[in-house]
Amino acid sequence: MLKYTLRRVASLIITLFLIATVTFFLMNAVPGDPFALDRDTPQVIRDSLDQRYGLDKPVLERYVIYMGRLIKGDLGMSMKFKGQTVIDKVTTTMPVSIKVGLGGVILGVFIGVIFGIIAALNNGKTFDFIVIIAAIVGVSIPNFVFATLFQRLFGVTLGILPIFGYKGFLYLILPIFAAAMQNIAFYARMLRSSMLDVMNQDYIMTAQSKGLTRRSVIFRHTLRNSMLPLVTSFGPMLAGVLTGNFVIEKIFGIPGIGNAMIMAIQGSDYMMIMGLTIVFSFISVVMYFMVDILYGIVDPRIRIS
Amino acid sequence: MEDSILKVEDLCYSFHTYAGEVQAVRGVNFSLKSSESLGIVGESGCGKSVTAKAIVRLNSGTSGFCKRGTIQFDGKDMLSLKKKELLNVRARDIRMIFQDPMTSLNPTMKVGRQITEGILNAFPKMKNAEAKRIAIETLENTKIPNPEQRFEQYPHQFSGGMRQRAMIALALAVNPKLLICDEPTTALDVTLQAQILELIKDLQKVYNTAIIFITHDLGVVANIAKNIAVMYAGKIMEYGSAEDIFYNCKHPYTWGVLQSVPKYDADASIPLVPIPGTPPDLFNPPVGCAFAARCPYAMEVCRKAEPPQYHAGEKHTVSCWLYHEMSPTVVNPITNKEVTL
Repeated sequence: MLKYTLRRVASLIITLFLIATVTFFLMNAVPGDPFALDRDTPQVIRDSLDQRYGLDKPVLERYVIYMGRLIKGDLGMSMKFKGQTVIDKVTTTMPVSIKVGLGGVILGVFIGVIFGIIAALNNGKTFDFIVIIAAIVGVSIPNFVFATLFQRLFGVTLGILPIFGYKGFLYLILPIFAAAMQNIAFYARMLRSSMLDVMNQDYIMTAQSKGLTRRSVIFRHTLRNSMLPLVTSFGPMLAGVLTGNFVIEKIFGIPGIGNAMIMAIQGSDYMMIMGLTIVFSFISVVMYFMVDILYGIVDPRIRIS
Repeated sequence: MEDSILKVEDLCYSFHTYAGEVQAVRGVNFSLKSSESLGIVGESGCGKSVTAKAIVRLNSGTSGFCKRGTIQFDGKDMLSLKKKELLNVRARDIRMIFQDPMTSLNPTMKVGRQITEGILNAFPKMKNAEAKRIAIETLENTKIPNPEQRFEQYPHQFSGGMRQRAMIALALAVNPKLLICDEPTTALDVTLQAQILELIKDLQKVYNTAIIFITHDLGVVANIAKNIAVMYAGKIMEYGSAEDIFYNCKHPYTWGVLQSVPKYDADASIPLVPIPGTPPDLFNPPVGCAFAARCPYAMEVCRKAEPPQYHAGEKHTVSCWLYHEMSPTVVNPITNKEVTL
């Protein structure tokens, strides 16, 4: 187990290093720089800014300097907003992003699982068909479409919920539902098919042959086994809690980490792009790692080797 | 016949499929006395499992339906039984063991819990501790070592043979009146087969249970069943005591099956004699005898009309035109004697 953990940590460091390197050079390959403004800036000011932020040096040298700082844990300062450190930005934007992301996941799993179960239990009947069709539609339509639809319906037509900004819980309801839509569709489909699969297993017939009622068979034997594939999807799901809602944050004007990332990219805020990318990657990799450990706890048959 | 615990009469069971109606069981009759054992033998798809599952209506989740016939168990009409009573019969009186022990136990529930669940379902007033005691005792009876420890384990910690023992324990823990074994040894290797058969035979004496034993292997039932029904294409071709079937069988299909069983003392150079052809299509069962197309003795009449049932002995019945008075005389390849009733 210790060996396994060490190996995972080593691979985590290599992954982060590669991501940082690739991002650094790609970002520099994109036209424009932090100080390229629409209005004319005197060359002197530009030069002095470049010098101050080290942008006058060749790319390779800047790369070495950046990586050197990164190893010390210094993610640097924003190039656009004075006095704003990357770490500050992460810590101020993360909480609201987690609220939207986690809310979307929890709501999505909850509603999706219930729909999936009811559909499986009514296999071949009307409700089943409605769920299948709705799930296909839900998976196919991108969440920003739902986001704008919700804004129109609940914000403009019905006028019951705020649609922009973040000044309290009410402002999170629409973003969370928009973020949940694809999860609902995804988990409804997954649960339905895994439940139908489990219902055809031999051990379900064993349970029926013991004279258990339909309810006992479902609750004691079918459900738990149908939930197992759910665990497998935790990894991508948890990693997506923070990184999955860029567009939704942007549409609803939620000051989250995704929104910060989009702003950084739009403004070529090099330090911010690098820093946020590394934080995102770190979170994703750590989440996957945690889920791998979790598997072994949830399903005793899975052994980490 | 008065004291028979199970009586199946003219059972016809079909399945709806997209291609049409599959007539899996086409008129099966048999009866079973308490603590007696019956073997149902036949090749894949002959309807033996469907017959067995129909007794406790375990086919009903599928597209299957009972077309005709009656099943009487212990004075109850199983086919018209209310759901609640049916569950009671399943819980207490008729238990089943299935073919594949690797998949017939719930992988996420402890083996002990799966057994006590069955016991408590049959006897709701029983205390948990008492159920656990019975479960461990039954595990011990099925010769599982360290039953207390095994009680707390999950199925993946059991080997295939152990799982089948656990299944037997699960079924016998409530001391059912009838145990249906649906090919319980098919998925096991030969040494385990022998052990499991021996175990079922021993436990039948201990628990005094009637057994229906389904298999495609005549060698397996020889050991365990008092009476044997040979099924083909959804019908019973020949029925009799184990002795009748093994030493004095009457039906050409039974001859074919017996000839295709390898004998341990046979000369290696003599090839086995298979039955040529394949079983009939049960979407459109043949008009006459189902076996006629593959039968070396088939006559004109065999293809035109179903053979009547002839009584060849006290229990021994056979459905074949060869026993009609006008049929030509043929020689039984097993006994090398001319066939007579």
